Amino acid sequence: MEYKIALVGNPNCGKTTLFNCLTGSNLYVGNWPGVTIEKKEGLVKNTREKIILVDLPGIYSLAPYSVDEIVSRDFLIDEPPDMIINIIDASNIERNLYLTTQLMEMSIPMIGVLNMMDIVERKGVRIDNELLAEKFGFPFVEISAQKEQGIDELIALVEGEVVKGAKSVHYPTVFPSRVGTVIHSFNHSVENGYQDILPNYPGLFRSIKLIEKDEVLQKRNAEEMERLDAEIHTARKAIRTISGQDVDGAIADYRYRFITKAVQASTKVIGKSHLEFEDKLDRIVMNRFAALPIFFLFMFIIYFISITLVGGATSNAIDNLIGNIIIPQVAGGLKSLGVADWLVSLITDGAITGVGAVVSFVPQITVLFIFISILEDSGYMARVAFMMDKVFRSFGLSGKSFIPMVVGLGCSVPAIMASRTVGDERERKLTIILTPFISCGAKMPLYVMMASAFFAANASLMVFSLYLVSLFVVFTSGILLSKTVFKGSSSEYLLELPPYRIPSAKNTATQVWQRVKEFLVRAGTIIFIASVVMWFLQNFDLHLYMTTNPDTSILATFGQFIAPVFAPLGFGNWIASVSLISGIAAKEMIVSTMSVLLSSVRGGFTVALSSLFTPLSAYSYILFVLLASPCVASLATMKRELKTWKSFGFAVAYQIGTAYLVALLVYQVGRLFI
Amino acid sequence: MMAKTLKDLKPGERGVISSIDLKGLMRRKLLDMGVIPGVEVYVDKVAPFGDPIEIHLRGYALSLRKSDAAKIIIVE
Repeated sequence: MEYKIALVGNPNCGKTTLFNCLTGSNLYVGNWPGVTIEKKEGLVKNTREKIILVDLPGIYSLAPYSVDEIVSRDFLIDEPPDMIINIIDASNIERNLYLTTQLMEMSIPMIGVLNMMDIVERKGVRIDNELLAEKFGFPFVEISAQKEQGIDELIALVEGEVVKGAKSVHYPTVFPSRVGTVIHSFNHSVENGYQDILPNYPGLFRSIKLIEKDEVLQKRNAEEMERLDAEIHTARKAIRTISGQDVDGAIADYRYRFITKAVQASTKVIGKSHLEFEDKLDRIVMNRFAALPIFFLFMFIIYFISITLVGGATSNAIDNLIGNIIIPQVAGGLKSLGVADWLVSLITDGAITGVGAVVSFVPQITVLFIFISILEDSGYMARVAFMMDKVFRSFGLSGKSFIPMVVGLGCSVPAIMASRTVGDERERKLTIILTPFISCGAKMPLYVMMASAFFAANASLMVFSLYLVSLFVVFTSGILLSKTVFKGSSSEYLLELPPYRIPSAKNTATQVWQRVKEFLVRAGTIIFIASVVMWFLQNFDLHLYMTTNPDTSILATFGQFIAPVFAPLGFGNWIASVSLISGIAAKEMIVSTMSVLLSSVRGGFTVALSSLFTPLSAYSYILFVLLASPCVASLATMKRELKTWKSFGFAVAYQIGTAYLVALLVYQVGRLFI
Repeated sequence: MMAKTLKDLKPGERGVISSIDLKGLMRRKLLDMGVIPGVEVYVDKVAPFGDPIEIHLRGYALSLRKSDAAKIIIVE
């Protein structure tokens, strides 16, 4: 027999860690249909029966405020699992139990898992899980997922309970009896008089949602709600009379009263709280004067290590390995086998080079992911959003949008995906459009090349100015777009600040591996294909014959055609435009294309560059690259997250338009002075 | 005299929620997060730039903007 179990809990309660504990390495990451939220499924390890564990997104309640919550709710109704494992952060038990009271209304067998018991102990608290089980009607177990304590017992309990095959259960109601009566008689009327209304919903849950005038039901089932209008009105009036408050306030209040009573009965403070270290850390890190400098220090360290140290060391080594060892060997080997020249070129200059562009980026991006994962799991990222909220509010976003932009300093692909944490749809879209303005690591080779060729003494200053420009563009674009296309002001900001925790190495490793894998698969495939396409455009002329003269290739012809467009920006030569176009595949290609196209010029690369650019036009070129739409992998990610072609088209048009405008202004105004 | 609100509490001060004068999404979110009349909250700090604020309630830390805190009435 096969069983399906849903893992449900608040964000930050250690759900991912528990999921990993329960499934070992047997997991599959996909997507919930229609949305870009990850769907994780795995097989519970060490069981006799086949038990599939579905990880639902972390949610605070089953009320539909975000896509996460709707996805979870729809899953529980449309594909009811055989059991729900409700993971609860026991160090924060009351608020976690709020979701529990809602889950109890789904009439699905449940097990409560009290996680983070090690922190509860440090707080000097003891919890009587048997008493909790009495109050709530289902078993509670204590575990520490991070320390892997209690896991085996949990698995045994889960398997024992799920094979009992309880079809539907009725848990104690959290509402006082008078209110309970109102809800039950409402439920009766629906079941007797309106059997066609939401028949697949669990009765209690359906009644409460209807009485609450739940937003999702209002949207999807407006007609049914109309028919029940009188009954709903009566029920709401009754609840208002009994409670003396508004229906939504009353229901939340009753839930928390039930919870507080149960928690007070089953919790005992037996010792002193030993969380001084976390408190001290918070005082320092969020100190009014030290917070921002500390943040910049962290960022500097992260970028220095990942891009300068690791990136510098490895990407040269890998480029070397590929360019000077692998490609010649492969080329030699293939040629000796009599393989046609064009095929050899396709394999070496096209495919291997393309793969090389991605692979050389992997070490730095892995290190970057490690740091970001640590920042997130330690709780620091939430503090950063907290700190930056006021600044971001001034241009139409909220502090949560800061995190994708920080990630974007490494690579836009994970940055755009990180926008999922921005709850509000308008803000999320705006974040996705603005994040690519933050310079990604792949553009660094171009800056370094240009900087050393034209700005030798002031190279770092020039690069620093680029970051300032991107910040400025993000800021002004945010203001502009918030007043026009993405009209609206910053939405409801309510952010939990999770306790500081030391992330487990195992968790971090798993998370980083998953992200690197996703980057390799998604970005890698796209960049690879784009490189091959680019190879084709560079090596074939308009008659589709292979050409050894780069000036006659399709790419060159196209470059010559559009070059005039860039004349007002100071770089209306075809080599510059061709290199730009090659950057669509991967930004690192701008440099490689330029060096290939200039390889025949006498005097060396730097001399050749000087024949194409002046310092001013070089700066203008860099600005264009900085701001224009990112590489094809990021474009694909942008399209996925923005969903519609309209939004995507706008995003690309805005980005390229801004790049053009800024480069134009800088060049033309600069010319007046230089 | 204007009622005392959560915004009026300084870091280090406590208060009991009396009512929430917000509507719509923000109100529902606050209710879900346990910010309901009768609960005691503790104001821990203000963000480095002056906004938002961090409050502690029910054993956890929550941050919200001063403009919203100004609509949460505290029992006098």
